Amino acid sequence: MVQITAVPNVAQMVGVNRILRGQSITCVVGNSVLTKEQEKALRRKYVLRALEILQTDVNTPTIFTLEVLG
Amino acid sequence: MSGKKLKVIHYLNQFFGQIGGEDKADIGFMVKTGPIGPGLALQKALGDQADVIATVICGDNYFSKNPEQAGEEGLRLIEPYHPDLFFAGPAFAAGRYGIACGAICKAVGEKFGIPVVTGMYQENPGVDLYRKYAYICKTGNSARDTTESINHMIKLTFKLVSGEKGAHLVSRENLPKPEEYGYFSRIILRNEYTDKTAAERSVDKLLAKLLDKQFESEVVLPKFEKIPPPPPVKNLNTCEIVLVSDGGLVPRGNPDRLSGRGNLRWTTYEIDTFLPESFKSTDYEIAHTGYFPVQILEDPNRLVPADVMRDLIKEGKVGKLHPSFFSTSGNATVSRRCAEMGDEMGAEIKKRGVEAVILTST
Repeated sequence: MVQITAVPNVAQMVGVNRILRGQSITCVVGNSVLTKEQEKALRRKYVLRALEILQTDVNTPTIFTLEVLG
Repeated sequence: MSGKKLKVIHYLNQFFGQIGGEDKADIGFMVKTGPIGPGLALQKALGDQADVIATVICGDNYFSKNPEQAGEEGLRLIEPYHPDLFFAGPAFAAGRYGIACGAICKAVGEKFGIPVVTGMYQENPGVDLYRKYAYICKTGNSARDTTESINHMIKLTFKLVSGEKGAHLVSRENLPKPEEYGYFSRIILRNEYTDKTAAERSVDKLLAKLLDKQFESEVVLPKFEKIPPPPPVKNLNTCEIVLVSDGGLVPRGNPDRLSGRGNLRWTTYEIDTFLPESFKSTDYEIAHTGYFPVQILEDPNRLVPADVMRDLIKEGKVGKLHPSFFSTSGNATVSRRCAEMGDEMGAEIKKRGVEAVILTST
């Protein structure tokens, strides 16, 4: 399981192992200031990143961000 | 206390029950009439207020191999006696014995609703496993401490059955203070009368902390268990994924009655009819009073990314989207119920053969 949330520390505290920091509390995988197309592209990035995290090995509750580092 | 003598059952392992040492640790349950071994000290301390009518004995290996099942087995032997009080051990630092004492106390306490009292050394694994279900008095780490430990257990027991203030254990007003009676806190909040407001008490606590005086919180923070991480998904293009959210997204009218606050329910909706490509934003509502719902009501895909998942499946990047969406509302719900709902949803998801979950939370 991967949890996408804008308050990842709560997820980490309760022991969720794979966490992706979401866009905002009131719009987890979207952004209302963007155009429809831009917003869907952003959401696609979130989902693809979440899928990547599902395929990643972790051994402790880990918070990932949208940007892949390195 | 009424004039009637209380009926007491005492639990011991094979060693204290005078059956034998480690060579007898595999022995099953037996019942003996009256007190045995430490039970004699127990009877003495109880005086003429209670009678140890029987002693239930079981080998440590036999019991700890399957504590829940053994607890049930012990219960069947205890049932005919209709006890008023139940004691186990004390187990001191003995791990298997501690687990046995805790498990049988739990079974008896839950079945008969009577006080169940045992004793353990702080490092006994039985303490953390069973402290919520039994009064576990603090003892030394060996049987040298027997008399003192038993006196301790009895002092607590007399308080439990005293019925002081006319209060009931149910309301927890009669729950003895763990620090005053030397037992491991059961992690229960009890009601208490006080002349001070919460603001005054908070300032008092803060001052005590700042001045390095004795400080104790009125609130016990929940302890979260470490959950072993599941292995990573191997083949995404054959994997079935389910979308779950605790953001309270429900059809307009909230037919399953999720609560906006302190919610105790979860439900499922068929994703293709619930959130089709051409959805109407007036078809939804948010059963969650903890966030501003306007953006998600405008486009529920902002919470439940069904649109993108459908695209990825068409492109062959993901195997399958599970046909149901799991919905609940997480806002000021007690953590224990949250964990239960998680377990329930997890079990259902596993039963359906789904391999991975994307959970979105507000």
